[in-house]
Amino acid sequence: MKKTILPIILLLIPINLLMLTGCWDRKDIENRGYVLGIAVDSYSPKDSQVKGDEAIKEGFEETETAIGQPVYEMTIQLPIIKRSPSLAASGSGSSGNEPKTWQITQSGNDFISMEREMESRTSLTLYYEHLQVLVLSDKVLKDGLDKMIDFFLRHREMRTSVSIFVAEGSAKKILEVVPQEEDHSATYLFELPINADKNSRIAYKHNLGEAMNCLRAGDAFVLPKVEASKDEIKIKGGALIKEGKMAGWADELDIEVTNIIADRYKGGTVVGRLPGSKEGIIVMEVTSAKTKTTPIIKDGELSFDIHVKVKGRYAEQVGVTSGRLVDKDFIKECEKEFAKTIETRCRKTIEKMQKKYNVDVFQLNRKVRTQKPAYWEEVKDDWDEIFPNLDINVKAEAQIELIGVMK
Amino acid sequence: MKDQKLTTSQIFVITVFSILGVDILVVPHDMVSLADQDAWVSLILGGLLLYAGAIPFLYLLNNYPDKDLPQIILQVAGKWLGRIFLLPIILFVIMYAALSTRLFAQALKLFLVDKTPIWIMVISLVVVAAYMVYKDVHTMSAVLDILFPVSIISLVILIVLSLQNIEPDRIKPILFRNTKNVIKAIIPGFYHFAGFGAIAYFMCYASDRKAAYKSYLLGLGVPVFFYVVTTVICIMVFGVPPLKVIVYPTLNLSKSIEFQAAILDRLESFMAVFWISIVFSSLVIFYYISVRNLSEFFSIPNRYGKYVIYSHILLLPIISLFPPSSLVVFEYHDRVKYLEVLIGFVIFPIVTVWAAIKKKRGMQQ
Repeated sequence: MKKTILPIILLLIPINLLMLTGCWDRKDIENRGYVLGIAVDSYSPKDSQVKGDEAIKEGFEETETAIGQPVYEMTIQLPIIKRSPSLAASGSGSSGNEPKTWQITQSGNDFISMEREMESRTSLTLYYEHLQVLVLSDKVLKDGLDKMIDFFLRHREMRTSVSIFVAEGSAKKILEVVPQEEDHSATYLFELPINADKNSRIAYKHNLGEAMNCLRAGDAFVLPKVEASKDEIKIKGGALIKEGKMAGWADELDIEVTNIIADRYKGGTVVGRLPGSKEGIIVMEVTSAKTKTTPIIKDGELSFDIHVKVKGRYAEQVGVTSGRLVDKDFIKECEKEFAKTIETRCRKTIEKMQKKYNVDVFQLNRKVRTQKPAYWEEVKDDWDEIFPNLDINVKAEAQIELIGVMK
Repeated sequence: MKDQKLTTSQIFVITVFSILGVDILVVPHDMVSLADQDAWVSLILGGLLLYAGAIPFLYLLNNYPDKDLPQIILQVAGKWLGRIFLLPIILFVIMYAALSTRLFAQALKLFLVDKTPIWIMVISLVVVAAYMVYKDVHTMSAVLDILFPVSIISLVILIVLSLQNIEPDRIKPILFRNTKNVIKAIIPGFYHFAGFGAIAYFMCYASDRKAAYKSYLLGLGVPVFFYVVTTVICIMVFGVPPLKVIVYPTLNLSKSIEFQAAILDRLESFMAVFWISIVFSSLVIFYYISVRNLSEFFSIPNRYGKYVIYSHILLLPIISLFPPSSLVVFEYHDRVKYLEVLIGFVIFPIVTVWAAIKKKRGMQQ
């Protein structure tokens, strides 16, 4: 028995040495280029005015396309990680002016070729598991989100939780922002919507997974729009997407209403006129909100009942120094006033979406589909004609639970 | 060989692992493609069908307490007809084991190891499984015992963590003008529970048969439960239209989980624990079954049994590496399951009824 085992062991040792020392996918962590953000612009021919280094760089950005003309320009953001520790240590003193990120731009008509072309400009292997944001320019969206999104959905490293933002004009500019606190603008941008529970003017769900779902189902949706200065980014309104293309802009107030109706209202402020005053303002800080949307079919006509219930604190009054005491009656009046503002605001946005854009950004069609499937079967092909003429009744109810530290 | 006994809990674990296989990765996609948002109803009905098939099957096993399936078939149906009955079973088991391994290696390549060639993954998996089968049933079930809690717990973690992403509205409307598709999808739903017959190769080792029957029936419920829950969660997270195009929804599910705190980034690498151990366990079970089948088919005596095991080291990788592309693998994987219907609805019932008639005659004499 022992005689047969020994040669086997002797044979196994070299095999193990060969097979178990590494793996095919070994990649040193410092050789990976962690792509934090991607910006996609539509391609515009470069002007030949610039000279010197700039011109060389612009030459790099051109990809020689095998078929067709360049359509897109992709910019990726890589964090600059100093390879040699001694350099990093000595550089710490004067690190203030050094750029912390590296933006690489490449043009082309398909993204994978652009990406491979970039690999000829960097010694790192591009790696997308940590990708956080995708910024698209409005021109790309107007051309069609559904046309270009496939690369990002099919890619094995990208995850569905990547946030999508829209930039008016150049998307590359957003990534070029040098933020005040964070090191990389992509991280900064990714973390901006964290405040959605305090500011309801931020479009709520806007990741790749959600976009894929809406595009596949043919639903309209909204993506947050971002604007940038040299060192700041702001989420400001949103872009309306219908049938895979951008249909128009929504302002911040519209986004708030969209969030309310979609029952994604996490918190924010409601402003109203002070009862019995022409100039005074009262403010309510919303802590929780619940919206119930019910489709109603009466005599073959579809209408919607939207019931909004907000709870919160009485937060502020402006324009009154010695006003009334905040008592039970006063709060009752205020609650009515707040409810009224919410209703008017909702109506305004609903009308805008119905008449001006004809975009069902509230995804009311989903409500019909899930709750009145028989009716949906009949109308699903003419939803575009039905939606603008829908009767949507908004009823709001406000409840003040706390009044702060003063009466 | 017969003096080793399997405990009741080991029978339970073997039952669960014989059904819970690589299908956990693809079940939501397959079922939603057929029955839209009502896929889970078909799965539940398929699960009921599973019980309907399993109970008469237990009756058959009860009549031949110390024999496993190929021995029973050969005894009931005779030397020649028995071998004809055995042939589709052999084919099914070996194809199922090989294609599951290939599907698994493909998913592994896609999500974790990009550059590692598929053959090395298939061969290393098969070699480790061969070693376990070479040992004995006892070693096998001991290893499965260790893998069982790990894989089940991580599967539960995946489901619980996915709850934060769900939108319950997506599963509605329930059963609206869709009954025809739901009924059509019952048989494909049943396909995913392939391997419920695997227990016939292990029941003869059970120490307490009455309790083993109970734990078998209980064990059948576990995969049904997980398949249904995974499908429901996937529908609620992704929605029906995307699910029709996502190839491995369960893996995408683990990729879509997000934490506010960045301590647990890339959860999917952790989740690989559950599916790698699930696929490995089912491979080991099917490996063993295939070895038993072939040994009985060619009447190979026990002392030469190890050569049958060695031959599988070659046979399984050859079959699993044969399909040229991933789409072809899916196609074969679907086709192999027709064999399961032949086995489950034709061969098993015939053998069971035949055995019952034989028993009656024996009693009359």
